[in-house]
Amino acid sequence: MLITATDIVKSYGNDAGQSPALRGASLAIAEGEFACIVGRSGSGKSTLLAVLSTLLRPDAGSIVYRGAELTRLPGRDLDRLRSSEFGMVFQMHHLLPYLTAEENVLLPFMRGFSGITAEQRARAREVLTQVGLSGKEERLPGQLSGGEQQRVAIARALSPAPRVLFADEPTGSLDKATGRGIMGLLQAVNARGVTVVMVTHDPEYAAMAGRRITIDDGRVLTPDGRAA
Amino acid sequence: MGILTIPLRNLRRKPLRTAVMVLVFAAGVAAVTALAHLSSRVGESLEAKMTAFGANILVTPKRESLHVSYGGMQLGDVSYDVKYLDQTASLAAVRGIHHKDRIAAVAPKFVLLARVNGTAVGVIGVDFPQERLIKSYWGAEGRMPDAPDEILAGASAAAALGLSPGQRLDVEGRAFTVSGVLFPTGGDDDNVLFADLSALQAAAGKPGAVHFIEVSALCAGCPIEDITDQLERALPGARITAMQQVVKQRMMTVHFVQTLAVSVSVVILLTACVMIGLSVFSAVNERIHEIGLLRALGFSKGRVFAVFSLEAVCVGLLAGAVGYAGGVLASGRLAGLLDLGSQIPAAAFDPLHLLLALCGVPALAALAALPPALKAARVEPSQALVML
Repeated sequence: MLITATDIVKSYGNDAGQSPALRGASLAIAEGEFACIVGRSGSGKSTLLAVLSTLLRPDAGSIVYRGAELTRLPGRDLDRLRSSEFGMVFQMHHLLPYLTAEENVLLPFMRGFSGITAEQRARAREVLTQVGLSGKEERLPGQLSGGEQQRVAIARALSPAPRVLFADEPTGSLDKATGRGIMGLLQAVNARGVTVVMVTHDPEYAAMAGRRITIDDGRVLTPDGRAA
Repeated sequence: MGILTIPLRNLRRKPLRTAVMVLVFAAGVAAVTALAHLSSRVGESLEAKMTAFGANILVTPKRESLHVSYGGMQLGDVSYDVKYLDQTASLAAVRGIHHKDRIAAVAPKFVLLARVNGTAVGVIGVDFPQERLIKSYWGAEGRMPDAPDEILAGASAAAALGLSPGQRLDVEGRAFTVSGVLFPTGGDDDNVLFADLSALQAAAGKPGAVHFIEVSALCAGCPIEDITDQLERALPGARITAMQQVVKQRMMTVHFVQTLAVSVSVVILLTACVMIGLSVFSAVNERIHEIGLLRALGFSKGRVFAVFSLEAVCVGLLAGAVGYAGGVLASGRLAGLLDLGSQIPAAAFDPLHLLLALCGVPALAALAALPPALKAARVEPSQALVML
């Protein structure tokens, strides 16, 4: 398994009151899988994705990624993991409005003081072509449609050639036709060998994924509807 | 294109906000630059002006004398022998000391007790141009002497002797004309007559001899003790006396101006720093999603800190250059406005000062941006991005 999460517990709040989001969620994701996490609103699906993608540390439980226990890794190692192994796509595209489409795609490479290499620039052009935005590299986000902006966000997530792409409601702010286009794109990305873990509440999009993981009340359900 | 692209593009994206930040900081830097220049020069100028109200060093021949008083009667000093200073050698020695550029005026004096119109009166031989440098407060009915045979009468002496401008009188058998009568000064000058030094020396048969020399030294650049030490070495046969009270009074004024300038500069810079800090704070709050995104893309806390610090450093760099140039120009203009133009040399561009501005101001800006940049670094990506 590429990712194995066991008994993940995560609560929000403070000493005055705790609100549990995950109550011992367990799941495993195989390499090359297109897994879709579904569940009703407030079921804990976004929290599970945030924990799996290391954006959030769990209160308890274990997450093993390629043999490494992520919950024990220091912050700088998690930063490194997010910069090289994981790609992130959010419901809102979160493009930097003052950078062009190509520069937004190059953003993961702008962490250092040294300039962008020719290879990195070529990679940015390549992924922009993959998401169907060839010829729009120099456009600012404001000059692109909502669907195009989300495609740039996906290209940005793909530019460091990640092993896993985490997508939290990537179609949530798009109309149906555009959403289907984005889903097709994610399927194409998965077909190229990238593991995709996506959260959605839309059954149509969930059906387009290879595997459906249902979460309810902070627990992952088995195919027969029991808590795993 | 690297991490610097993010702050640079963001600054370019909001030109008005960037311009205001740069201008506020540049104004602070310009004010500090101008004040630093003006305070040192105004200090010197003030001192030069104050020099016109008297000398601060007295050069007299070394002699042994007794101060005699008896039964409450002051009988003055009784010298065993009267010694003179050699005028040419002494003036050359004073003008030749290491700190000669700090000497504003050298006023030699030859004193003669003479009888004029049957009355005993003191006649002081002076070098009028030098004398007027240390006594710019002199004003006269008539005019100041401009020929060797002209005399300037003190107000009381003129009244006692019945002198008025244009009148002739004899001193030691030599004819002089009264060119003017001093307005009352309230000092010793009221009771004596002033004659040309060379003419009086010739009349007394003592050419080249002087009784004492008054020196006016500018002490803003060095302690008075340094100057008196140098004078003592240059004039081993003379006694050098620093009039400490005068010096302290002058230095107090100069230091007051400089302390005031430093205080105002600190307040201005602090205000500019607060402005920068608040501006970066507001930018951090505005760009919370951007920070979350950067963290999600693998930017470490240090890198996020660097993004916001670099933004302040860029503003500081620009403000340092603009502010320094503005300060140099402003100090020239201000000197003109304050009517100090003739005494204050135009502020010269100094590469060392520019370097200091280009290093110090960005460092100060980075320091001002420290709290908001730390706040940005502490932002958790999940808080900023994920709708949980």
